[in-house]
Amino acid sequence: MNPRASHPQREGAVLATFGVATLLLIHFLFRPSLTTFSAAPDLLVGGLLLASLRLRAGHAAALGFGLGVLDATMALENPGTFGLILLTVAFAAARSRDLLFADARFFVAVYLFLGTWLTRTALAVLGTANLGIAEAIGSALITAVVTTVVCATVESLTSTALR
Amino acid sequence: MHYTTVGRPGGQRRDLVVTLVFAGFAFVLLGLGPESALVVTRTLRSTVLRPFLMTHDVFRTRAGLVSRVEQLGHERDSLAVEAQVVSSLHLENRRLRSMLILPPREFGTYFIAELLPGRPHGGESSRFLLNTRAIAGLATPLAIATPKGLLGVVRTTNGATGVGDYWTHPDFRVAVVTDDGAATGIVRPFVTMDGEQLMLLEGVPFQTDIPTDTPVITSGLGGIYPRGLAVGRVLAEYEEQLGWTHSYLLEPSVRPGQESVVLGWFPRVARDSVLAPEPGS
Repeated sequence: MNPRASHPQREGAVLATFGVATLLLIHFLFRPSLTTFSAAPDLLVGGLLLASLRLRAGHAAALGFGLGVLDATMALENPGTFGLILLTVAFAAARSRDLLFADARFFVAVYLFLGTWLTRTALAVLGTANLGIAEAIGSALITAVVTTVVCATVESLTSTALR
Repeated sequence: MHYTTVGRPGGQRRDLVVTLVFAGFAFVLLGLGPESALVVTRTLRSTVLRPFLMTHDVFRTRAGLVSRVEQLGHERDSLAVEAQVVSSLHLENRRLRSMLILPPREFGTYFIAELLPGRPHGGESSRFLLNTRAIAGLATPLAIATPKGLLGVVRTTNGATGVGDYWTHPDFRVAVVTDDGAATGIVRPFVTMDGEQLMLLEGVPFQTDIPTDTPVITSGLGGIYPRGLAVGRVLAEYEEQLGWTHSYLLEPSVRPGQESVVLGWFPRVARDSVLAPEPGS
């Protein structure tokens, strides 16, 4: 946390960290159940995208790499593939918020949707799941919609808590 | 809402360097061999991920407890009946072999292991993790089966942990024979246009026809899989005919993802043909 940040900024950062940490904790605790349902949200990618909105690009990439390796280990996938995909997504996400209007709610929703859709498709295609490309894109689309709803709500709650 | 901006160019360069360093780590992980990758998996699963995996175990155990007890009761009853038949067959086989002056039949050794399926987000994984001290030091590949039939093969081991592929893995192959011994071939996984996961029996001689619903078992050729494990049943002849051979679609005997305790097999004779699972495996 930036020591020169103002009090509301610091409070906002704490709340956002709490929101992201909760999403990631739920993901790792209930992973077997969350992976059973096709319409379940991907809280790992959602949490990472939300974290990347606030982190520096380098820190976001490091977080993406760590989460990718841990998730791959749990899923028995290749840690390198998952680490690389999530690192790339986190870095691109952290950079994209400065190119676009990160403060707009609409941007956050579109950002979450596109980020989750692309990431889930890449993970499904490059992982060991027995999915064709069309099936992977379709499955990722459903996940992206649900993830956007859940994570946009979390993001909205953590930002409005300060007002 | 306030977000941290990218910052000064110096900071951007540092971010890029950090990202490249971690990308380098990712490429190192990508280049690891199966044994080294298994060491990484084991280490992370027994340290950082241990609390989460223990929670998953608690949920899984509680969720399936009642149905599991009922299922075990049924399995125990049917096994008792089968054991009666098998013991008389053993005696008969030994007597006949001694009359023909043949050496005792070598069955190989079975062991019992805990299986943890891979869980990708979306779709079914074709990979699993095996936990049992019985595989420590054994040469791979090792056949993995359930009482219903062949499930897969362990590719790499490290200590008491092994990583294997279900029969759904694209590289999986097994030599088979029909239960009447009339036709032989090689089975590989096959995904239909509807996305259904089946098996494809290839290399059946052109003049041999296999009727629908014929059971197909492992032939024991190659020594990785024991002879007689159920593989599947013939569904229909596959449309494509390659040269002088037929190919048939098979309905698999076992579908991955349902079993948590499995049988492993290695072609070495032990005094006791089944090794009991060790506590806490």
